[in-house]
Formats: sequence, C-alpha cells, structure tokens
Amino acid sequence: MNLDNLKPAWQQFRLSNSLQSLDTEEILLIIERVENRSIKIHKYLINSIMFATLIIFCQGG
Amino acid sequence: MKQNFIRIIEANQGLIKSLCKAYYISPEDQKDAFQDIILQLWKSFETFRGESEISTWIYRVSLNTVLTKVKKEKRKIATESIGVSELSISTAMADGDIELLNIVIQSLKDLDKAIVILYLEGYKNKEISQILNLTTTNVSTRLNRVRAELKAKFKTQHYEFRQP
Repeated sequence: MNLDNLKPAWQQFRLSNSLQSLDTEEILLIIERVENRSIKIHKYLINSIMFATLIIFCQGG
Repeated sequence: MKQNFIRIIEANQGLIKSLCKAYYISPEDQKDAFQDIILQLWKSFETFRGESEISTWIYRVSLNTVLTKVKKEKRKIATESIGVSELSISTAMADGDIELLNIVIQSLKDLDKAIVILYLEGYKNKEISQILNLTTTNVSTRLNRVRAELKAKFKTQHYEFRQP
C-alpha cells in the first residue's frame, strides 16, 4: 500500500466534514466559559491578596 | 476578536472535525474532543502571531490537544481494538477510498496517526516534526515503519485504489 494514494481520500474526507453547518452559539459558549473562568481566577487572586494584606497589616494587639 | 476567531473556525471546521473523527468513534466523544480543541485554540489565539499558516497553527494546537487528551483518558477507541484479522474483513467490505482511509487511520497508534494525517495533508517531515515537537529522524523512522506495517497488513487484500 502506498500512503500517497490516500492523499485524495484525506482531502475528500476533510471536505465532507467541512460541509456540515457550524454551531456558532456552541463556540461562543465555549469561549465565554474560558472568559468566565479567567474572571473568577482574577477575582479570587484579588480577594486573596486583599485578605493577606488585611491579616498582615491589621494585626492589633 | 471573537468574530474573527469564529470565522477562522468556520473556515477550518472540516480540518478539526476530521481530526476528531480520526481519534474518536462515538459522536459524543467527537463532540467532546471538538469542544476541547476549540477551547485550546481560543486560549492560544491571542498568542498566534501569524508566523505560520493558520491551518498549520490549527493542526499544531488541535493535534497536541487530542494527543494529550487521548493519553490522559487512556481509552483509545480504535487503535488496539482493531486487530489485523478484523482489519482484513473491514477492508474487504470497504466501499470506497474514504472507508479505506478510515480503516488505515484507525489501525494506527496515536502519534503515528498524527504523523500520517500531517503527511496526507502534504506537510514535509521537517514541518511535521516542528508541529508535533519531534525530531525529523523520529518522524522519518515512524513513517517508514507505518509504510511497512500497512504494506504487510494489506498485502493479502486485492483492493485497488481509485485514481483521483
């Protein structure tokens, strides 16, 4: 079997998969999931820094 | 930026879906892999500087995502499940070049599959090695081994390729 003979089949396979309609809503949901996660991490980091600052500087005696 | 990204995905969805189908059989797994690839592509979209072709970048991110996913899951769908005897039966039943392509792809190991897909896409060994972070020697060796294995597996078959 010559691997090169499968090249047209791969192109055909790729083309057939590109004909299906793309669910853009689904892609937007995935993107938003990433953005929401990074916002949560950012908020968590800020809160942690604020909490640490309060603990360090507000130790009364 | 989002619209630009969606346009790129729309233009290259055939490529991404083909990779998902090459590595997963069930539609649920394919969908899952598709989502993971989109996720990784979006994460690395900001760092894409356009130094390579957009399709090369998509191949790099997608294949590395799928390979990591498959490795993590430890449940390869087809590689180990199709033996040589089953392969022969399937080949005999193959109705066309795409069916034969599927049988060949599903018979390969994960990394070899990625190499063969990139080879079929027309990439040179050096480019394949750069996309998959391998050495050129490793790519050449693996391709030669795949060629030899396929030759041995399909030598008893009387399947003739249709000329394009």
